[in-house]
Amino acid sequence: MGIGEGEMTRSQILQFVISGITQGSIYAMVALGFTIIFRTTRIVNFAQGDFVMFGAMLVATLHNLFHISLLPSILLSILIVAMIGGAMEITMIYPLKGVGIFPLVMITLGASIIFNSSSLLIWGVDPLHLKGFSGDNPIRFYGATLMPQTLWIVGAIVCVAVALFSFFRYTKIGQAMLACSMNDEAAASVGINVRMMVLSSFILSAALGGLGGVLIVPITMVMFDMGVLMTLKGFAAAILGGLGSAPGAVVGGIVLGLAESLSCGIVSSGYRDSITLFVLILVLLVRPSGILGSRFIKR
Amino acid sequence: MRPVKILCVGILFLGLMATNSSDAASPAKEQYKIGVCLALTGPLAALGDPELKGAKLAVEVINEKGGVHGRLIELIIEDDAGKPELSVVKGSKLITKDEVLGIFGGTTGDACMAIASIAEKKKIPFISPTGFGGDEIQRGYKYNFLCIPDYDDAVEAIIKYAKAEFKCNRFGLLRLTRFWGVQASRAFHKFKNKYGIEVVREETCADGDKDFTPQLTNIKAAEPCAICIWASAPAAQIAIKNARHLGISVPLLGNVVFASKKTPEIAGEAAEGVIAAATMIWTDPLPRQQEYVERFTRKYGMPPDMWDAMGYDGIMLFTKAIGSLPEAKVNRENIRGALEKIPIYEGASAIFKYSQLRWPIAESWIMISIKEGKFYRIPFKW
Repeated sequence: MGIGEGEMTRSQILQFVISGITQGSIYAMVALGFTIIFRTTRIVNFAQGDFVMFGAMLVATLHNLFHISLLPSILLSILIVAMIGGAMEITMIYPLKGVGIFPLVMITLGASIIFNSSSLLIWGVDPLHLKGFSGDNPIRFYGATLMPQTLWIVGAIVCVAVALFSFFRYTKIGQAMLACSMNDEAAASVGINVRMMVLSSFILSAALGGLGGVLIVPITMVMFDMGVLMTLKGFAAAILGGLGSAPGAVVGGIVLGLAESLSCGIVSSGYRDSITLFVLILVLLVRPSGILGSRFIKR
Repeated sequence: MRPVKILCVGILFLGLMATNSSDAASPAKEQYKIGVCLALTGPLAALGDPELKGAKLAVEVINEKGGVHGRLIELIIEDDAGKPELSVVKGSKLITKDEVLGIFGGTTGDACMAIASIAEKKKIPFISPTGFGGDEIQRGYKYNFLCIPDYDDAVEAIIKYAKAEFKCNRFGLLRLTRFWGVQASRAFHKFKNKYGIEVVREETCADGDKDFTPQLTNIKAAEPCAICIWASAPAAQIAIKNARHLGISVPLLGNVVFASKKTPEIAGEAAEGVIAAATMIWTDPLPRQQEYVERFTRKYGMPPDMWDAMGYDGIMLFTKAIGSLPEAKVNRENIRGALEKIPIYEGASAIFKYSQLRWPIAESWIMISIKEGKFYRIPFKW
């Protein structure tokens, strides 16, 4: 063996980190979707993972089955998922305004089940797949390998996070959305169209979910039931980072992804989920509002 | 007036009778009811759905020939979504309410064990397309018969093949945390001394996992000469891709999950050259499987795989058992006895010798590989 034990370990750890960041970015994308809707409505949307599933399913179908070239398929998929998000708000959330947050959260859970089953009916049980945007040849460095798709995912998450952060901080609509979550009556009284803000938050977060799905399908493939796990991991990431904070969602996602892959690689693959949840509990014990928790969490 | 009325009622009655059993060979005889309890929804529908397709094809084939003892076979279908708690409810319903003669079902090992235990209590023959096989409790069951050969035999086949073909005795193992994976792990350890092999690194994963690079990185570092991936779909396929992307070039060994129709499509080039133990491959069927492959493809417009073949065999075995009994003696207990006496049945999926063994014989496992996106059988001698 030409390679020393120490060097071996270093490239292994690098590989764990790459794997963690890739998975973490995916979680972050879902967590960001949670953030948008939560910031506007204070609803935790448990159908968020299904937006990811729809995005992934649609792009794979449009590109592989209908042979539409990649970019139009991607844009079309995101557009359709955004419309699904809008339709969800119009048919399920808006008619029930005024019932309080908790019933609405339950509604989103119901929506998730509906999405899940319709996906089973439309696409069946087999997984779908898509080739990587820039091919499937891994890039090698320092003994570790990196998929080009990872760069797409990480790049997209950085862009989206920056865009969202600026959107909430510097644009009128972003501020208006924020105002709606704090006090919708007060927001309405200063001339904010609360209804439009809620609708746009669903559309925006669905589009984001769709984008996430489009990006991850070359790495993880997609099956009709993928949404449930995505929601779970994304929610954990959002809580970890601080529910309602856009940078928090990104940090939470990456930390969760790293915790998973490092515990799996270094400690034991059998204890991966327990260690990950332990990290989650630990962080919340020390900082109940999450790593970058916003002032919203006051409970 | 009166006779006309009676005539009318009579005609109406006859008409109803006729519609009730329009394609029956002899309308007077009641059908033989077989219960089917499979995961038709939920994530495991990927297996349950083909199993039902195969079972339905078997019924079609049998009823075309006029059924058994002039009676048609009827399936009573229940969906347990792969959840054992539902399997118990649906299984009991089939036994007590529908009064079926036997049950085919149990898409997952857990669901199978759940039905097996009530079948044992209610004394009803139960054929399952899965099962723990090597499980001690199940081995003691008198009413449970399996359609899938023992996975221990599959592991043995894999080891034997790897030893013979590329002189490999250092294996890496990536397996599921649940029982199926544990079973594979135990099998590897069981054959350690017999074949002089060792498992240099064993890693685990869960069903919904999307990334296996950490585990495979560790396995790679242990320098095995072949890696066995024992996971469900699409985890196994993702793991194949992960392994190749990590630059792992040693042979990847697997089980029936590798033999899924979707493997070449979703794992692409990474799937080239993977080796797996399966019971049937539609692109290169054994002579005894040819007719089934043609028939299935004609009926459903898609090629079969081993899961539907097991559904087919399950119903065929029931029919064989019923057929071997005199008509007056057809009941649950006697069907069980008749199943136990089947000397040999060369099925679409496996070879059954229930008179010797409650699951198909080890020789049912064939070795397959993928070349240019197409499955083919590779020569393998037991």
